[in-house]
Amino acid sequence: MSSRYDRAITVFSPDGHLFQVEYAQEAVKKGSTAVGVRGKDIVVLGVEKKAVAKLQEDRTVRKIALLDDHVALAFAGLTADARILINRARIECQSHKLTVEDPVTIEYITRYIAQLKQKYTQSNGRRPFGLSALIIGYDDGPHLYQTDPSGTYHEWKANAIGRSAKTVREFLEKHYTDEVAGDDKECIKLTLKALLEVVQTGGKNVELAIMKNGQPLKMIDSDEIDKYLAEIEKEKEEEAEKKKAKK
Amino acid sequence: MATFFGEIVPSFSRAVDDDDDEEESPHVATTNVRWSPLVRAELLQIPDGKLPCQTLIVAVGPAAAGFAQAFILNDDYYIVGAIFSGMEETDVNTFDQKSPTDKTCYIYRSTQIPDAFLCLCKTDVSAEQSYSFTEQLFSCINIESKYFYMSILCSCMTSEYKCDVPVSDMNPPFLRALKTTQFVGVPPCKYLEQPNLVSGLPAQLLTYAQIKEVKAVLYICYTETIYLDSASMKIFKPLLETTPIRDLIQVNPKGDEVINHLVDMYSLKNTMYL
Repeated sequence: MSSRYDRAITVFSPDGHLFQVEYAQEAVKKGSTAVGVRGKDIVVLGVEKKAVAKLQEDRTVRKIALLDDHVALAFAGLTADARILINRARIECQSHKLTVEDPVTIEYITRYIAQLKQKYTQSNGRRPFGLSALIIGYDDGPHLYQTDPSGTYHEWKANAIGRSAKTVREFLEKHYTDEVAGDDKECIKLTLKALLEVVQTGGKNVELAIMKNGQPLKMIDSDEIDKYLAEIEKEKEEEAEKKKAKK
Repeated sequence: MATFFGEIVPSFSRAVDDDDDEEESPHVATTNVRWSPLVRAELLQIPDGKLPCQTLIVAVGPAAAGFAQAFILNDDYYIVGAIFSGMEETDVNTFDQKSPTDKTCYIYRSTQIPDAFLCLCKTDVSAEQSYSFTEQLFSCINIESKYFYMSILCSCMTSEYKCDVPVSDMNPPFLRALKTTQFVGVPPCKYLEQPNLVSGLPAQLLTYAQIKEVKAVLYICYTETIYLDSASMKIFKPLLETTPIRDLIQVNPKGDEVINHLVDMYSLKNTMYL
């Protein structure tokens, strides 16, 4: 049991847990789902939009943030913590550009974010960042990284964070193939399909962003999302018919 | 401090007021039940003053109540009573008590099956209040019929769930069941494993059923979200096939819509977690 070993972040429990950090990982699950898929020439980010209050400007409620022209991030977890982290990362992107005259690589900025997160798990009087981030970008090729509150980071072909991330990851594991990765459109569709597995209220509440070589981040507008949704729906029907025919 | 005769007497500090020790025990508000005029008139004609009941479904908490509202409750049900307890000063309810996010506790009755009752409890009934809540609920409901069945639905956080695997490896939401000895059926999910405990109102209701030796079963949904989400409401869906709920429901194609609407109502306004 966690008895009292969860009071300070710097204290391990006898069986080797750092409870506060694990609790921070629970905070991540309170956020809505974000999915990232890396293709051969594209990297796609999809998030579930939370319903906002009727009178709230939804322009100001964002899960996807641009860090630099070629790097973007989607987070799941505490919004306010994310804002701080995003600000720090943006400054680092600019400062890196000024000092070495090259834009940051995706791995560099991910490592920077992860380092910052790790700092907050190893000294007293602090609290870990309550968020995970999917970082996408394009340098020598498309990249997708994921960080978590403990400061761990890894590169992925496809991954999900937030609520029901496990279900989505299993879905991605099942459906991600080299064929899908080779086709930009299929990558977008896979992201959408994975999100639809867990989204509460259908395709209306989905936000998609893509990044390609040399192009800025492109948010896909709702009309286009609807088109993809229609295609997915059609494919599903065709499959169902095939199954029927086999029987 | 030792006195002249050697006995030890505790020395009290005069720095603080001694009266502080005599703290009043916190006042536990009791529960009140109000029945509709129709029922009150009916009660007068029944010798023991209790409504005959064969099926009672009690949904405690927003997830269970949301499920019941979406899949069990329909136009056929009308409100016969309300239980008042668990309201805090900070709770805000609308004046007509109709908004889905209002903290209310209504008892519904089916017109077609008059001995079927449904209690949707959205208030936070504390452990101290649950005794009087149970007493009040059963004050006018006769559960002595040998066909009586009771189902209790409630939800808990997975962080309260004790087991060998860490919270991150569980697959919430999931269901667990508990039953009274008289309940012979097999629930569609696992029984709650030791050393887990159910507390508060659901426990009180099941205990009452056990003491009265009636058939009752309790289903607990373990969920990880603090806000209401559709998954933790839909997890109750297999129960629609079980006794006694099976006998009550009509096919409700709009259930999913109701659930989406409820999620919207509850999830609104909070962007602390995105």
